[in-house]
Amino acid sequence: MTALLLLLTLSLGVGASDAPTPLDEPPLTAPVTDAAALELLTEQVSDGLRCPTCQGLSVNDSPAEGARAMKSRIRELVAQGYTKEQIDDYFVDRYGTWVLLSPPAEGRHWAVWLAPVGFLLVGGAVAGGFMRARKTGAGAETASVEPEELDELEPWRQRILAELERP
Amino acid sequence: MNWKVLAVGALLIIPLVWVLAMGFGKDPRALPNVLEGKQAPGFALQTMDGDRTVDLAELRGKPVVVNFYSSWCVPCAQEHPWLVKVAPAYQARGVTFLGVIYNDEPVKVKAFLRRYGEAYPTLIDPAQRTAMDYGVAGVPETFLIDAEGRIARKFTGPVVPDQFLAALEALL
Repeated sequence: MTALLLLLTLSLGVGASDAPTPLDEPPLTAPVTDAAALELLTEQVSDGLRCPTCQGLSVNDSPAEGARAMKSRIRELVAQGYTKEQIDDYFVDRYGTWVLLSPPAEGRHWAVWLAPVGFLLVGGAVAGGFMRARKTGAGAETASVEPEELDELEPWRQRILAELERP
Repeated sequence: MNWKVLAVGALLIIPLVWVLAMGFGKDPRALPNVLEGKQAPGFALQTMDGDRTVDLAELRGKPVVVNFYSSWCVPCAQEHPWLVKVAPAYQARGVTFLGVIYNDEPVKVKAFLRRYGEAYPTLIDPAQRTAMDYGVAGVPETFLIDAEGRIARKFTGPVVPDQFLAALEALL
């Protein structure tokens, strides 16, 4: 199960189709003219896209020239009324799903979302088994103490009790 | 020997080692190539001297080589003289070679060309629009476009001479 999930995870971002690019299509919403709304939407889209020249930074967080150019392009597209999905598609068509910081929850990308649950289940099963074994072991240990051994320990027990009662 | 523990351990560790082995065997900066086989994004860009506009659509019918580069990029300086050397022979056979500036200033690129040679036009890409259309993530990147206007091959980093020539010959 784990191996299968990992195998599926590794194969991400390789797919390619000959579908038309979203920018060949018209924007799905009305143009955004309000400056605050434009900035907010631009940041939302930029937050979800990976800066191609950085290590693990989003387009929004990166000061790199390439990321700034991408953000400027995103702002233009948002202003024209393109949706987040359309803009994501535009970049995915060119850079692959690699460019998305969160892989889409569809098709084989489900592996990325389900793998942590799989690991949690396996980890839980291992931890549960370990605790069960420990509990059984502890019980066996208590049961194995002989009465003679308890007698031997009795003077020590009395001494500890006396120490505790001393003011 | 507790075989159950061994089996669970192997089940967890073997895929992990496999993932790491696969990861270390790859260039972490190499992006998936999703554009090969697709129609090349169109562009109409001005040459650096501003004397004319090159429209990709007008070049249909013959192969086109598009090389994204910068003057500040060391691998670009390594590959450029070789491209300048091989370009004339292929230009004579109908191949169009184009350079596209990536994140650079024309004045610096002109100095670069004086130093490393010039055999084909270099185009200005305002706001890196064309670079983005081609999914360029760094320079140099070189695209071979076939006579039907499809991207036949993409080279990330300096072109590998043998592979480049073989791929170009296949388009002629």
